[in-house]
Amino acid sequence: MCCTSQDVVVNAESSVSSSRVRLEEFKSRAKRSLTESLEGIWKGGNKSKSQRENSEGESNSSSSTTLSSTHQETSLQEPLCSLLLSSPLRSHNSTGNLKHLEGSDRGQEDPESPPQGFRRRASTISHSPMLSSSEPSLPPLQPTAANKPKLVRHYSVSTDSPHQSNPSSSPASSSPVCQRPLRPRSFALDHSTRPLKRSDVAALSSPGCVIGDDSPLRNRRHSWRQQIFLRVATPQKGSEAKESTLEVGSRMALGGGVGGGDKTLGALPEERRKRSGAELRELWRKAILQQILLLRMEKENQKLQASESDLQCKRQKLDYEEITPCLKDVTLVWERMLGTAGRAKVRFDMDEIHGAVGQGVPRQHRGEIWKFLSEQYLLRQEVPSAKPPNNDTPYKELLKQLTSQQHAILIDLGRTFPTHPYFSAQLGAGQLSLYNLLKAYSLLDPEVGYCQGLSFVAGVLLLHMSEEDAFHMLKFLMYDMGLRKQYRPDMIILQIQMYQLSRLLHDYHRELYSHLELYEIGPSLYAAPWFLTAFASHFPLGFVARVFDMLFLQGSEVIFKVALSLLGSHKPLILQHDNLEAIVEFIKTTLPNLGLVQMEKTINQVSEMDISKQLQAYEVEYHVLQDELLDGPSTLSHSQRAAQLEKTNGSLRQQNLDLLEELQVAHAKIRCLETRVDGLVNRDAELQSQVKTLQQEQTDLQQTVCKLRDLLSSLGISNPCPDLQILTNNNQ
Amino acid sequence: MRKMSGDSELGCTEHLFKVLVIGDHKVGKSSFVKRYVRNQFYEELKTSIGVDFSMKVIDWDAHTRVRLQLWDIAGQERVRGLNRVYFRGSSGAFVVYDLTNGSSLDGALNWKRELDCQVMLKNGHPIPAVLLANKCDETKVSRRNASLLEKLCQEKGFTGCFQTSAKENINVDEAAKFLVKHILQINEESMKEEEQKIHLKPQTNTNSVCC
Repeated sequence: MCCTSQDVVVNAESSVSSSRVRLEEFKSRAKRSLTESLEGIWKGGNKSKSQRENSEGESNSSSSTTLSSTHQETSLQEPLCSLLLSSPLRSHNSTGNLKHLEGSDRGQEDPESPPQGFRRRASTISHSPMLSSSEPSLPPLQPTAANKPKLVRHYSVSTDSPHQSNPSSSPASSSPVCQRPLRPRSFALDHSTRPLKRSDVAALSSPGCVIGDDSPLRNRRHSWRQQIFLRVATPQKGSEAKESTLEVGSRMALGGGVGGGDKTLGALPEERRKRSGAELRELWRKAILQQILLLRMEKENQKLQASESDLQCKRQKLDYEEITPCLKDVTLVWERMLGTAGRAKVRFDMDEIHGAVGQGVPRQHRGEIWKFLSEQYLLRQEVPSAKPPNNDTPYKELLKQLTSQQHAILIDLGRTFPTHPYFSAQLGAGQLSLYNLLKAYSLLDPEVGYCQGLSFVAGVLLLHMSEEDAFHMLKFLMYDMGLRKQYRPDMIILQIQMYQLSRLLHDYHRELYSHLELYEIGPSLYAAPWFLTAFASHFPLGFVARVFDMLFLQGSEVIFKVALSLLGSHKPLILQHDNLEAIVEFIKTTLPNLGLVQMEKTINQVSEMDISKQLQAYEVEYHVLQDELLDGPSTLSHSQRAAQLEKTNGSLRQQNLDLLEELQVAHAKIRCLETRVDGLVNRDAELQSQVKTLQQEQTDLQQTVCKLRDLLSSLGISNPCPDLQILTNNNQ
Repeated sequence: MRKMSGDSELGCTEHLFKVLVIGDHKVGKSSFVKRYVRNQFYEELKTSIGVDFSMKVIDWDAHTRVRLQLWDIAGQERVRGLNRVYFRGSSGAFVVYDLTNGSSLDGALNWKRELDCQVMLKNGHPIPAVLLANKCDETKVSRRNASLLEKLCQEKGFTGCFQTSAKENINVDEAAKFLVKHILQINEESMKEEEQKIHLKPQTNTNSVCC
């Protein structure tokens, strides 16, 4: 067997710093035990391999029998079986709780590997890119005049255009010659006539598609993917062991990104013809390396936990320029409010809070102040929030679960605040916290799951508070402050928001509106990220922090106000540009960096605006327009009309659901008020009966006094002093 | 629809083409655009939300200047519906997938289908679309698979296919040139077509003609 432990050690050392003596010890031990056990497993042949794919339990037991019993056995055998499934993959399995895995190890690697880590991981063999890159795969073919089509105009029309002569003809249905006139060779376009094999397609995209690499192998790999995906998508009935194996396995998938385990694989000289021992060996090798990395990451994890409260981290997180510098006396006001005993139960004066937010929020207290604002908001809610998540699972529990959104989340980790020191480190503390937070949220709210843009909102929160606090604040913003709707899969709310913004521009800044209309610039061209990230993706953090201050105070309307105010205050500059690219470029890139004074002005305007009525009106307007459009033109084909109706039906259903929710809230409110009324009625009755008894008592006493008086007079005593004495005696 | 072509003061023709850059997320759309337009590459790019524009001006030949308006459209599934409106009026498209990520090829084919549904040439033909197998610096496609790729690309109605690397600047300009060439060809065809029509009705065509 050519896979000696020596081999692995050498390769591993190239990627792992030799200074970590203890890790090396772990490594070599793991390697030795694993490589020894590999032989046994391979001898079992491919049959057992496929069994392993299908049944983790089986593979678990098989690996436990073959693994030599070092003290690491328990920690190794679990991940190993899942590694076979997960290591060549990029995703679709969960990484479990990755909290606090630090990225400091990157510094010790080959300087070229970190940026590539994520992407590289999937490739099994490295080659020189020369061959493929030097030959353009498809030499442009000269069209012959004979089969050129009759083109009327050089630009395209959309399908819904009335000019279109044959709306229902799909490309597949027309003749090949007509379809691909620029290509003299004749071939079928119809998918069904000459379909490519699935394996061919896979081979085209698979990293390991080298000469001699068979496609069945790709097929098999693909089935692993699906399998893992399925497992993640529908987690199996709470068997702890299975979950944990998956978790660990995928952690290692991540680990591969850090360590660049591929380098070792690249050094493998042998040519692989069949899916054989070599392939498996490859995987095992990867498994070993990833296991090593896992150990290292866990060590880093501990380190990180120890230094969690490190001030330096906080300084790094808060390293941005305030746009409204907070004066000392305002800071004192905040500190007084924050320091109030039993703060969560005390209602503070809203005017005071508004005033304080207006005058500025001290950076170092910002996270706490956001929590404070959310507490105050919830205190003022008559009934619990509009739609609390039905899921009350604590954060720590959510972290243990698996999310189907993992792939999407992982992809965006390195692309959220990529230049911020806290988030830029690949698999650094920032990215891992972000991963945990987004994962937990996607589990809490399966309907929204993960949507691009959310990572920025979560990121801003993480810069100001701990992971768990950030989770609660994200929940608050999404559910209580109403950010959640815009992320729903159909994204209709976002479209409505774009309409609302357009209408606001139309009403408040007509000149600007006309200018933008002239160049066909709808708000979705520039404002979609404003809404989806609460300005976090394009604006300086100082400004974003202020937006969030307002967001916590006033809710999601703030985004409209900021957008309107930003556009309004930069009107003259926008009007100077006179083409689509320049205007959009200005709004997207220049405007966010125009300086603190402008920013402060914008924020100050926001706190004085009130546009809730307009927003409501415009939303209704949107729905009315939608209905009108639907009833309007009858030029559409039946299928189009049916599709449109279906769409409307869907959105109406959604609207219905929303209204139903509102109704429920209203009902809850009514119930709450009714019980209060009941209480009051009861109390009233009680008091009345109390009054009655008191009156009764009074009359009784009066009667007694009368009787006594009679008694006294009948006895002929007229001296008042003994009178009193008798009275008091009586009373006693 | 904006004015697509016109005579500049030098008597040369200037074209403006809207070109879409579509594909699943993280396949390298923005990187491709940045490389092509600014000849720069960034390891860490922010995730695109919504749509980004870039403009590339090409002096095609002595008589022709082409302005390419590149619409880099965010790839996440649910944002897609929102972005369909951007397809309107485009003259060509780059459909990008990631060689190191198998599912993104399926994604690219879906994008192509959607593109063909949403937008087409005046004559009902699909607009020219070039398939880009990006990140070819990271992995390699064998000759056999390259021919498979070519076959696939024909079957699915792509105009052409390139293995590109935005990072290493491989085939980026070539792919763009290829697409522009096709767009120009189609443009010319339609011009002739119009001229013929105009000749049928006895009128003179004053619309942009190459000098």
